[in-house]
Amino acid sequence: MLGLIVLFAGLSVYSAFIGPAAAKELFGSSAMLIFWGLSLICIFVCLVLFPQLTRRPPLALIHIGALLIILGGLWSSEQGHSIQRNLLKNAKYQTGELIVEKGKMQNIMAVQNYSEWAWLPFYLALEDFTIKHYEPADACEMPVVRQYLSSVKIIEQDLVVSSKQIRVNKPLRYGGYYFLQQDWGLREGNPYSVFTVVSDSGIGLIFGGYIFLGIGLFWSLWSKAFKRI
Amino acid sequence: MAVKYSILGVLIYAAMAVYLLAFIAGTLRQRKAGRGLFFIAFIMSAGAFIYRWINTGHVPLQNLFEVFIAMGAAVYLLSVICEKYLRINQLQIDTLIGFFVLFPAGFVFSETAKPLAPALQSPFFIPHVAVYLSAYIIMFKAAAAAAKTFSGKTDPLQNEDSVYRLVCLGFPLLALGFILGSIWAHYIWGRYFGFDPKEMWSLATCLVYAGYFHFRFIYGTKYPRINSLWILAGLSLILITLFWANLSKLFAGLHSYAL
Repeated sequence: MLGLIVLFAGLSVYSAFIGPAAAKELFGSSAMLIFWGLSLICIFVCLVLFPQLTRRPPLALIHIGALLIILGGLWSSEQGHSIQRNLLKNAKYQTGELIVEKGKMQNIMAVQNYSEWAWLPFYLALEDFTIKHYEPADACEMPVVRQYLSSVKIIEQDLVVSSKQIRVNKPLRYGGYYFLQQDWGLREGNPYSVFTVVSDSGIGLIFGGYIFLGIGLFWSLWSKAFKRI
Repeated sequence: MAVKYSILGVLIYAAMAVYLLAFIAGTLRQRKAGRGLFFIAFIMSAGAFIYRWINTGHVPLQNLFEVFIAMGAAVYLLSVICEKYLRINQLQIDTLIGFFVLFPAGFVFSETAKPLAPALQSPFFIPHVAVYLSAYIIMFKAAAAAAKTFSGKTDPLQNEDSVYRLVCLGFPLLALGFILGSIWAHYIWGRYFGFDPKEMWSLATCLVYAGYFHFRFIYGTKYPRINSLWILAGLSLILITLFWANLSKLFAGLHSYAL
């Protein structure tokens, strides 16, 4: 286990130098799939072989948390989504981009860096798009953007099933996807919003893992830190 | 070098000077005076933080200038917690940390305030930064204690126990900072981990401390110097994350303050 942690730390340092795109490719490579498999087996075997890990709830929580995070990471990765599409007939893509003009609706999103198109089973209509600015300190100062706001509606079978204001940090979650405000532009004077569309597959596992890991770490380590001397 | 002639600058320089005086008092074994000066330096740092808060209209943790002021104040609070609950007294180290964390705020970074960008308007913003800066200070303290293992002046076992309890205090905060950042990234960029250089350095830092716990679980206190080396390696990565990854164009990314 210690060897895997050291290797993982070394790979993380190496990846910091090669840039996000190459790092993502490295961590999603077939070789790394073996590493993730080994890590999962190792944690599982440790939980079975070392009774002190299961008898002490905080330690069990930490290791189950790590297990869930790795599983969630695999399930939510591009490769995981590709397998889901092929095996489970699940048409979800990991990520895409949806461009919607004000007053119009759209259900076709660009996926795989605009090399393919995917159809959502519902439409996203952009009711309004606004940019809020901070009050400039003086008339000469350029106004600074405070927030980008897109008022949207989800339309399924001609019925409005949801409506929300999407802004930076406040995405809309619907139909197994998150819709995030990414960009905006003007097309013949009419504003449009660019939404990043992200699948929610595996996110529950990861966040569940975070909760287990967090509780386990505080429980286990703070009880030792604050022990009576 | 950006010397500041503002009220904020005066508060920072005064706090630095008093931190240095507190360190000298501690070195001269004037403990009471040292603690008193330490408290005055804290009031000055906290004053600088509150003054900045009033001026900007938001919690001042937006950039490294503000983060270092916050660290200058937080070091006293964490020192009190460690002394009261962990029985670990590091007056000289704490005052020195206070001086060094205020140095970049005083001389390196500009104090120009900017409105809060849309990306920073998140409920995760303040807890993420506050938890990280607390963890960093505790890990600084742990590393300073770990370095003593190599001096030969202290009982290695007792010192090792102090280091272990400091890391036990700091590591959950370090992990929580990482987790909060990951959840925030999910809601702002749509991914919980983006392989950004700063994220990679932060992950490596967490892994080094996780490695330390596994090593200590296997070997206990049999090799106190190797245990200390893990802690020093962890601090090296924290320093790289804080300065190199944040500021160097080599690691330009979403978290970079260099651009």
